[in-house]
Amino acid sequence: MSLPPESLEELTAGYVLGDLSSEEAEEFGRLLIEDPSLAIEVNRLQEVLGLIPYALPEVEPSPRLRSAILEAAPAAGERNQTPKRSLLQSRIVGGVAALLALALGLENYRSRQDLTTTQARVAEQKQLIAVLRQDLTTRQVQVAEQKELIAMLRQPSIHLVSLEGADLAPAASGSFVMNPSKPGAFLALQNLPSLPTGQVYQLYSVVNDKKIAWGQFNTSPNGTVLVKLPVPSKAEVTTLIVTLEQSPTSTRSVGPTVMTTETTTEL
Amino acid sequence: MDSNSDNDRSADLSLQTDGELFHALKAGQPQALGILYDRYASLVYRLALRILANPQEAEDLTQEVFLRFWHHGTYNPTRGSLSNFLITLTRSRAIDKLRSRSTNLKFLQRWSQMMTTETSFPTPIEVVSLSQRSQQVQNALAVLSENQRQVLEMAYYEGLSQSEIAKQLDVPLGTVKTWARQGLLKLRQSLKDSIG
Repeated sequence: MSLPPESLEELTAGYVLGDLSSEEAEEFGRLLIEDPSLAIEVNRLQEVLGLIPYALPEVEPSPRLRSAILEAAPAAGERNQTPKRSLLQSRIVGGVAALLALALGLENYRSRQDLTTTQARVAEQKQLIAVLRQDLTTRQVQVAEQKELIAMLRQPSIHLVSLEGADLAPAASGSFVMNPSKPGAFLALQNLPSLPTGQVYQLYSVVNDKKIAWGQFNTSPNGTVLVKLPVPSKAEVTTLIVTLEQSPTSTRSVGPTVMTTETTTEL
Repeated sequence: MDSNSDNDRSADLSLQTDGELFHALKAGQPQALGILYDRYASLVYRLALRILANPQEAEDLTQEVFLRFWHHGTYNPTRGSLSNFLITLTRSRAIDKLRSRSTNLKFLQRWSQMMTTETSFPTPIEVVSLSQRSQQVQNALAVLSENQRQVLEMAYYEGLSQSEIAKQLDVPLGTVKTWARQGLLKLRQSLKDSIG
């Protein structure tokens, strides 16, 4: 597949600038699969973008800022990895973590430069491509929801729970995020099978064997879910399950379980 | 307290790469934080100041960025430069704060108060490299057309989407996209030695 190099370059620049139209996004996703070295170019352009502030007038903050910061940092040996942060990192699984990290803009992804590679490097590139593709797909999902989720993830006290696929969807994984003092919770899932019309997924919380219904949702064309659900009254987040339901839902019985929370919850 | 050996130690540290300093920092050495501060505080501050147009807020944000970096250490050296990590973190926090302000008018008022320059307190090593890089990037930006530079800076410093920029400049969206993309590509060409 060959695009004139100039338009490939422009498309890559567009991706880094975040201005791809949905058609361009789809095309870029395809190109990424065909040519993994594109990811290197993406990272290079991200670095270039990060050089722009170097041209700003060279001003310094006041000298007291340095001492304020160094005094506020704990003494040597006491530097702590805040438990919430490392739990957040260990609990979010695979592609969803990368998805959220990209959205947060806190990490630069880049594949190694040497392409004469070992298996590990090839695997990393494949993951990077999957991540970039997922990022592109997600841009087609409502941007407002993403921004809200990002704001929520920055709060100090959020409730974060991982979900994994059960027998019907063994490859599925994802996270449930809630800020107890705010309305609504977010569900970010991946690798869920798309459903035919007449079927829908539903989230339940389970307390003492009693199932409380949250919202219903379906997947995007490539199996990802990013939805905001209202929190039912009297809901506690202990165990969560995602089930497969007929739509419209029968109010009596609950359909088969497709995903469940891992056995330990945290935060 | 032997001030000579203290100076020797910090002299050694200040010659280390960002990666080495980051490892020292993770091992709990606060001197490493001091050196990284000397290296990057000016950059973080000037970006925060440019976006927020308020020295006090810019200093608060600089403090937040460095303390966050110290406490959480989420930077992964294999994934990009430390410079870009700090800049990206600073920019996203600053744009968030910018968006939570009520009106553009306040921003313009603050910015016009800000036009007087601040004094700077250089120390030897990072003045050379930071100044050099500043000059390189200024030169690279000067090669861009006025339109290309303006659009990139509006997107970068004001967090405007390209459709918002198109509206403000009263040009088609496609034109804005071309300016921004060509601008970024030209920068990449000029600065390829700086990014490795």
